[in-house]
Amino acid sequence: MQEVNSFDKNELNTSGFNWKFFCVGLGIGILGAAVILLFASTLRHWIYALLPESVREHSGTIVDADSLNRDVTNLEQGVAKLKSKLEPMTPGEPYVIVNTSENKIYLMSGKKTLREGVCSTGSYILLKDSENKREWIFHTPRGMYRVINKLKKPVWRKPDWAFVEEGLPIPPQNSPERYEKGVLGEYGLAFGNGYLIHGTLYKRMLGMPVTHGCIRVGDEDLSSIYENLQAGSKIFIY
Amino acid sequence: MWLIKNRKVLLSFIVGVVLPLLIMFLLVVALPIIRNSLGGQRVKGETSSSVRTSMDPVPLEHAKATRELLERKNALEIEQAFLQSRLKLAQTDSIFLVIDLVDSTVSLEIKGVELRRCKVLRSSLKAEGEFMGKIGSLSDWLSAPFVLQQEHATIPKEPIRVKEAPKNAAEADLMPPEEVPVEDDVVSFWLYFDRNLSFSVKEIQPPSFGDRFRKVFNKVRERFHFELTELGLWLRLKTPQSQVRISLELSREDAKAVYRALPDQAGLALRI
Repeated sequence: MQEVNSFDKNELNTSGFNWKFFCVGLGIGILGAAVILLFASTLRHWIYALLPESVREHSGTIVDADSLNRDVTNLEQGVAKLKSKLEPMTPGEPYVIVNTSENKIYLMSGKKTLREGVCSTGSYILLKDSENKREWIFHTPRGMYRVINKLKKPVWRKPDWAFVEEGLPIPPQNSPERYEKGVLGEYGLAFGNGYLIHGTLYKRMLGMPVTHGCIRVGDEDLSSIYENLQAGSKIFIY
Repeated sequence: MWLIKNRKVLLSFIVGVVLPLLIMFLLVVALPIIRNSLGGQRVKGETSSSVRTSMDPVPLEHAKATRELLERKNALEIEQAFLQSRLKLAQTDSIFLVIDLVDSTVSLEIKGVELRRCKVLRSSLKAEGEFMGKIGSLSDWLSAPFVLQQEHATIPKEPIRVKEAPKNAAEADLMPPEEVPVEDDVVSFWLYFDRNLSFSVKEIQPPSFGDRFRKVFNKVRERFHFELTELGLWLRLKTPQSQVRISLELSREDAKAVYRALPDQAGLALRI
């Protein structure tokens, strides 16, 4: 009781406002303000939901049921029309989808999956030839492509990087050293810029990103793709 | 008891507590609501031919049917906007993203062909009042494709590995065989589109204590960052940048495939 009295004498009675307790309160208030900041969006949602509809929505409006019916019919027709434009975009004839993220390949027809298998796609290795200041990145391009050419027993024409990678001198463009038989499997489907869907000797690597950009598939998947796809067929890569 | 007896001390304490609370509440809660409410009234009755201003009462027996019709109309408007957006994107040569929160799916499409469809395992949408209760402007907002402006992620877009070419065949023979790297980072990415739309996409987390703690910590940090950014914008009398924030959780494979497939300035068709 005496302590309180001394406190009164020293602090309370000297001024009308107690700054010490104000600062303590301010500290607590700032902590509370941080909590409000943290939950501000939730608070706004709650308050917004509690507001009368006249504030949130179109106030003073009523709905004409007949014109609403007309609007709904028009909208239904519009939606059906848009759907009819979108649906034919999926090819009716066989096409291929390649998933480079998981190294999977799908032979499709319309929305139906005809065959699903593993493949190998680009390794994302950036090969640097510091001596000649050249570099190559081994990735499979993404997007939509078309089969340009179908090949039986394709022969690999080795590009410059194949020699650089092995530390060999680069032969002239038409040198027989550039041609290698039997490494691309039974079939090849070229889809532009030297990229192919082809077979492989390294079957245990299927399902991994190890190629120089081409798409390697197993023998059975390859023959099925070769049989079903024609020149002009679509190849989608993502 | 002591505080009650000393009213001035109590008053000082209460003023200290209430002042920052009040200022913060006004700045981050009350002012944005007032601004959005005023904004909402400005667009009153702007889009619909079937909604007219009148003081006539609505007959009670028609109220339920009318409400159902209105709901159907709103859903159709949004579906139409979504399809328009997809159709526009299908005219381009790029892979684009389709997010359908009604069906809980995320799809990758190109030229109108669905390449991959992913199930959304968990989702949440935070929208400020600007878009709430205004279906007319919501369908307008959704009817054109969104364009990706900025992105960041916990995994690289292209997992490039650099390899120096050997100087000769002998050096090539000595080089170790290339190993395929194992990617075990948690997949999370953030996409910022135009028209105040942002996404956070995460792989669904295993429910261990450490992961849960990290998740909560990241969420609190993310929220503080967002609210502080918004507060700064409100104080500068600017409209906050991200007014619609959507969080999605996908399987690890889906999250990775979606992020890596998206090109620069990818388009998005959204249905909510």
